[in-house]
Amino acid sequence: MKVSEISRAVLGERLKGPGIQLITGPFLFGVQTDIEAVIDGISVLYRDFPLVEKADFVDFHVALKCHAKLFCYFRSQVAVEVDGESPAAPLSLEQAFALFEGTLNWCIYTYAHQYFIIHAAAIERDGLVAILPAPPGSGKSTLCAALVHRGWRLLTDELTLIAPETDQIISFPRPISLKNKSLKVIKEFSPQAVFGPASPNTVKGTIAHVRPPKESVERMGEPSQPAWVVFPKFRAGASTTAQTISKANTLMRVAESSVNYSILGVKGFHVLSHMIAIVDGYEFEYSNLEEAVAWFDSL
Amino acid sequence: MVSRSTCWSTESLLWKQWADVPIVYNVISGNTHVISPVAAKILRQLEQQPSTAAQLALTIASEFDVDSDQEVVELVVRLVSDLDELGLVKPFTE
Repeated sequence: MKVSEISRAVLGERLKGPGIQLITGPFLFGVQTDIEAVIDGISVLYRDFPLVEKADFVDFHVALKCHAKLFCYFRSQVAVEVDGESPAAPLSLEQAFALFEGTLNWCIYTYAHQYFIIHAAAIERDGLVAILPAPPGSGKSTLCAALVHRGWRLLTDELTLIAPETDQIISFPRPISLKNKSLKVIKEFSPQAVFGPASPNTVKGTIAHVRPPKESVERMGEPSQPAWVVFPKFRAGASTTAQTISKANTLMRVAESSVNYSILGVKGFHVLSHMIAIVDGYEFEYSNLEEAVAWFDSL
Repeated sequence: MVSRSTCWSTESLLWKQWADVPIVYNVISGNTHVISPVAAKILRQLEQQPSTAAQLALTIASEFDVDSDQEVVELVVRLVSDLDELGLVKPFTE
């Protein structure tokens, strides 16, 4: 059963009661919440994701609830729990959906060390993957959102997972997080893009999420092969340029972008060096999304 | 300052090399380094057998076809000192 197969009202009842079990890539999340914005976000952005009816085991129990009923009434705060523990301080209720998405990411980069994890977007076409590691503000998510609305499959917007046993990339598609000016940019670039509830006044400004394409969700069980590592950088007014970079440089920069390279030790070095052996690395600067998409399509 | 008479050995290392650029992973520290071909030659020799700076200078001179003079020995001493700071080499003890 998919999220879209139950009504908003029933979804809300379940989330406020026993919770739902949501499959995202290789993970099963148990989710409970009484926050309407989070229920709306799950209803809209996770529409195509499968639910498990009665799971004996879930990877993570995530609960977002009003901090305390009276406190919530006056101060409108939301508290988060993962497996009964609180990984973050309560936030304003208006930031609830951004907190939910950030919590799912937190679960993965804190615990999922069975994978080599890179802080990077990943998109696939014809079985080959472009990995886009980049610090915040580089335009990674904007570029990723543009590409997946022009035929590339979304594997992840934030956390690229590599299976050490196979060196393949494990798809973990989730809503794409955009902020501030990027929201307008993508609304104009892809009028068909569906946005969830906005979370204003976060430390990064206003954040809203774009629903992942249906095909990306339906194919999330398909692993694929890394082929390119592209370090994107948005610079206003820049012409579209791509420069190849050495494998040594690519390796060091991916290592810096990895969440758990040092945790995995020797295994991390083996996974990374296997990947670097088969990928081409590029520095990519852009300001025009149409030109950027054309360059990726030419790979 | 590295003594010329000190005998050196390496930590446990893993290697990769693409386009003549050596990359070395230190199994003990978990750190990864891109190093020069000369530094790589020094580490390779120390993996084979512990050596002094003077012995390493002979290898470097032979490998790169230069005279093993005072200048080469001083270069090796500086390089070994850098490698020591990076934790890639250590004084050899029986």
